[in-house]
Amino acid sequence: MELLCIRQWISGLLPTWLSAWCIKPVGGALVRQEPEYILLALMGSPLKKIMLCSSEKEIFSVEEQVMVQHSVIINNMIEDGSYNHEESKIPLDCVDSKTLKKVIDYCTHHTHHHNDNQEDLEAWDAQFLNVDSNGLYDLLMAANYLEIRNLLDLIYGTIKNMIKGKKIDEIRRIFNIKDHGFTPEEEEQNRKEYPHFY
Amino acid sequence: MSFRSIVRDVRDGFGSLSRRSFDLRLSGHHRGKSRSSVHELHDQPPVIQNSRWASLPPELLRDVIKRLEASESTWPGRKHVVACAAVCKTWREMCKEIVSSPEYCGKITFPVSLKQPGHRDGPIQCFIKRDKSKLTYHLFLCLSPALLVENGKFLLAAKRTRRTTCTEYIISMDADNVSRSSSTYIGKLRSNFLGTKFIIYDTQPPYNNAQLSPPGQSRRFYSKKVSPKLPSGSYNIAQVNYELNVLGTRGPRRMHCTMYSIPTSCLEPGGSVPGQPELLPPSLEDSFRSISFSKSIGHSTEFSSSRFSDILGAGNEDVEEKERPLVLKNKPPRWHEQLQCWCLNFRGRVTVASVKNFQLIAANSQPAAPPPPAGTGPPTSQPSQSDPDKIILQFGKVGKDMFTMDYRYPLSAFQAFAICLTSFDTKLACE
Repeated sequence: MELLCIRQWISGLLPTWLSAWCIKPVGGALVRQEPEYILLALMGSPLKKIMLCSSEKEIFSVEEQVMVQHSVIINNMIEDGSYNHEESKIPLDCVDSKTLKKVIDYCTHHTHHHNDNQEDLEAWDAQFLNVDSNGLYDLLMAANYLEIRNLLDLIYGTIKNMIKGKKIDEIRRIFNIKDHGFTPEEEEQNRKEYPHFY
Repeated sequence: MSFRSIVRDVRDGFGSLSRRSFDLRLSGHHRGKSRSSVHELHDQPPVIQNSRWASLPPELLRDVIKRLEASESTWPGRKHVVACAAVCKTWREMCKEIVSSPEYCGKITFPVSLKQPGHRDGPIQCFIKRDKSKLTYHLFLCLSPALLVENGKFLLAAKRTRRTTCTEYIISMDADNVSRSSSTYIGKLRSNFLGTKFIIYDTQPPYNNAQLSPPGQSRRFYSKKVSPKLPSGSYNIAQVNYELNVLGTRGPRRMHCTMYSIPTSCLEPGGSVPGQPELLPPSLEDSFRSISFSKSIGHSTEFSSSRFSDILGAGNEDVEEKERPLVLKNKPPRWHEQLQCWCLNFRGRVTVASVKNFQLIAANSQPAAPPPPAGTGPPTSQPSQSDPDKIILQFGKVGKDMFTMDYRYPLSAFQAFAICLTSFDTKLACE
């Protein structure tokens, strides 16, 4: 069936308020919106969604293919059938809402824009990682937990650039390391051995 | 239950629960520190998460530092790895795990690399710059293959002082302040009056210190009641002897280096140099343990042959054969009939003929071979027992005050530099 027919059929099935809300024709294609999840589950459309639950118990609905493409953990979960699309949500207790939203942004952008040229993608990534060290830490832990390889690589590269070329006191400030753990003698020895580094 | 899910559970636990307990612990810790930190505590709750980056999970920290180390394998970029190791204790521990010593990776990273053996697979190329006006010598790591380009990473500096009965070289890690009282002093070189015998002293004890010290001194040696204000120790780790060639001053001189801190067994398959320094500085007690030992040895060491044989004799009686000190000798040059000169193949690293140029090879790879006495004939007829291809140290002139120094396992940069310095101190007897 053509897309146009599908849309009409859906509109016919649903109460008006719901159909108006869910389906917005944009360039002839169906635009993804939250409650569409219910419709599409019925339809069996490829734009299946899954639900992720942050540590603050906020639920995020994401395209399945986006998360499956990037996160090894989620991919495994879907593949081994432990995830039930109608009822399940994936609890991510060590990722807070703010970080989860960012991770979803990253995966979504990279899935939909994977054909963009390299420079544009890199510029987007740079902007994406323009966060403070706390935000970066949260992203690192989330990317590691969800096993999103390319996001991890990106974060490692950013950390490397944050360390390179900086004096040690500056690195400690950037990464909020207030207690370096050295004894006073060790710290004194460090400063004597590398005076130019401080 | 798979291992992965167990790891994940642990990580989850760390992520949410332990972070909260971390907060409590840290807030208690910082409260007593200073007024400013308490003030901060009231202003911004997140400041409690101070040491998150300092306590990254090990596998993540390993990834971060591994990538940094791999991308900065040469100087000056390598300094970022050194900086990493000084940021905090956990980062330093991980750097220690990841950065291997020059013996295995051929890269010089931390200052301790200067006292660790060089690369096993090939020479580490350095150059020495002499300043005749200041009587200083600076050792640099080559950063490019070009010979006369002054593109190097500074490693060590030495300053010469001439006394009435001997010449001394102080060796330091500081380019500008080369003195015994500085904390960057790492050793010295002392020659006899004639400039034919040199002793290399290290501030750190060799692995076989107990055997080297004369009997009766060991009790004082292990005393822990030492004031930290005393200067660091002085251990005799090597001796370099120069002898005239049978042809007198017209032939190349002969060198013998006896490395007390390196056993001959290190050149065997599976061998290694024991007693290598650790990345973290030893405790103050350890480094000052030697003080009574060095004082006695310093006074009794005079440059008469009988005293030397005493020291040598005391060492050789007690050690096992496999722990005999490594002896290096200079590779005898060939007489080139057409060019009418002595030739050594320096593989392009030495370009100016000089009596100072030399190549050192291992002399005693066969256990029973004694060092050959002088006057047995032209050098070329001596059968060389060791592998002639393994040049352990090569030194030679490339410019007016520029010399190249290539060293490899088992010598360290410090030992190689000290041996090369002996070559500068030529006296009438050998010229």
